[in-house]
Amino acid sequence: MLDTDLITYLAKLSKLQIDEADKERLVSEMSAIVELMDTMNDVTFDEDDNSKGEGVSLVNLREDKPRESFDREKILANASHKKDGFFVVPKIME
Amino acid sequence: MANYIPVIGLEIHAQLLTNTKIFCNCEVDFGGEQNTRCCPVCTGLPGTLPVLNSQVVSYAIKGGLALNCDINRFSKIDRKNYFYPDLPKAYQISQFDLPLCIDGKVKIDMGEEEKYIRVHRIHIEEDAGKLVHDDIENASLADYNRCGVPLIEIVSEPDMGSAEEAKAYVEKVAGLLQYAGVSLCRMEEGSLRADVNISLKRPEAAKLGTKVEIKNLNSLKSIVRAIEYEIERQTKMLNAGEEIIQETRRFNDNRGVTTSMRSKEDAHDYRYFKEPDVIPVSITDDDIEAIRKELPMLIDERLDLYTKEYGLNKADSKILVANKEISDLYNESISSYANYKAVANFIVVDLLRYVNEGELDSKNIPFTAAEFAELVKMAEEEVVNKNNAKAILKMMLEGKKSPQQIAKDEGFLMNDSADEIEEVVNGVVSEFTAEVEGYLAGKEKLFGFLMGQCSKRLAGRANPKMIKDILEQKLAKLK
Repeated sequence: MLDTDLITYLAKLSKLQIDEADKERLVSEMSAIVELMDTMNDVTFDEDDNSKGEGVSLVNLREDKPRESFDREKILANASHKKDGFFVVPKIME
Repeated sequence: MANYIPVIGLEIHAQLLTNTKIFCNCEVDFGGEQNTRCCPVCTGLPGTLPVLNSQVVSYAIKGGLALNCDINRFSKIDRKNYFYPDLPKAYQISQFDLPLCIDGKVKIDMGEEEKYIRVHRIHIEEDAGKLVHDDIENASLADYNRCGVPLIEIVSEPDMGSAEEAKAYVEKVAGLLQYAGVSLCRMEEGSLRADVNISLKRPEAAKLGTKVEIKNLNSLKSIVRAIEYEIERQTKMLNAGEEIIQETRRFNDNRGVTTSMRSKEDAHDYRYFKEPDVIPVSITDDDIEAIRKELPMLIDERLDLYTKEYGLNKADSKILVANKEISDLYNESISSYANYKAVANFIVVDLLRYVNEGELDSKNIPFTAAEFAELVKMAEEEVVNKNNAKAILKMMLEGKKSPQQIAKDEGFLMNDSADEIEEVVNGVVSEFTAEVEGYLAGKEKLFGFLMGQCSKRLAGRANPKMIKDILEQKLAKLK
């Protein structure tokens, strides 16, 4: 069951700041979402055994042949921050 | 002070020796300029689809067979969600509940004792990129060349009881993967890394203690040091009545200590689920047999052959099998000259010196096994003396070919003409009269001196036994 403690914990993991006042509201909103998701449990599948089935055979997988990679400028073109051919990303040190 | 038994399990990540990445055609290579081996697939751009490399699956199965694993006939690919900037998709494609290989075992040799370490599973997955923590404020630099580099993760059971056993296991696994030809296992290049799980328990306890995971160890030395440090740390804590916290730690190589990375409380929930972009793989018995046929004879079988069939001692046998190319050279050499011990000895004593000193790359031996066998035969049959045989080896390493030809060109061939030896002996005896008289008067040590003078003049080209016989006869006549 959702409670304000769980909301606080999820907020911490998601790096979100949530006011105390909003927490109660989030409990009821998220409970409704979870409840809706739980209706999925009522659906039955014919094949819900993941451990069996027909997969791709070895010969039909991709051949191990190299193709030229993308030009670095092209790869970096959409990055909002770049430096010396690197993507610049937020520093996260554990 | 209470005694505790360490319980150690390892996760080894080995890079597979493919040409391309696991899900795209970008080339896999060590080093290279940052972000030059990337494409929209491995950088996780929206709308792209991963396509599994067949060689990754074949190599993983081959590695699994080398580690005595069973192969799952149906294997599923899964998505492991975690959010970190070294992974542009925000998830890693890996395997969860149906890995390619399961239930293996690896024999390790601890001196007199042999022990089996069980392999729980081997699965395939993609590597993440590399982050450079530069001195830029609040920012890191990301290089995605390694994103999508194919790895196998080999998970052992917690069957090891010491740092030495862990080291022997890593070495054996690396050796087997090298023999199988599926990974270079070069720790210094990051193609082999290990995570260690370690807990302590009282000898009488049935239950395992709380385990701690040490991440990302990239040398044998740091694996050993990290385990030893962690055993000491946990022992001290338990003796002080403290509780071990289940957590991930990192090993600081400079300080030789482990420090906490994150505790289980904040542990990642990876939310594994079936990867919708990659279809599962079906493996047939025929596939497995075809791959098994490609495996060469592996380490344990070769050791048995060398010690039991060829009569080599265990130490030399282990040295020979430590390197597949060397063991192959040995096997081929004895097929043209079946003097098992002489060939082994020449490799262990003479050839490996060049390998150990970094002067010879065992992958690029510049002569054939037949030529090498011939050299050993020439030395054994005293066609050339031992010192000259070593000199010939050196020249063969420098690119000169036939040992016969070298011996001829360099004048190393033993002179078995008794006439020439006699001439030299006569010369020495008439020159060193004082020594000859001394010898005849009973100073037997002087024989060695006279012998040495003869050998010197014959420049190592005469059979020492012949010189000895002729010199003895000559001196006997003078008595």
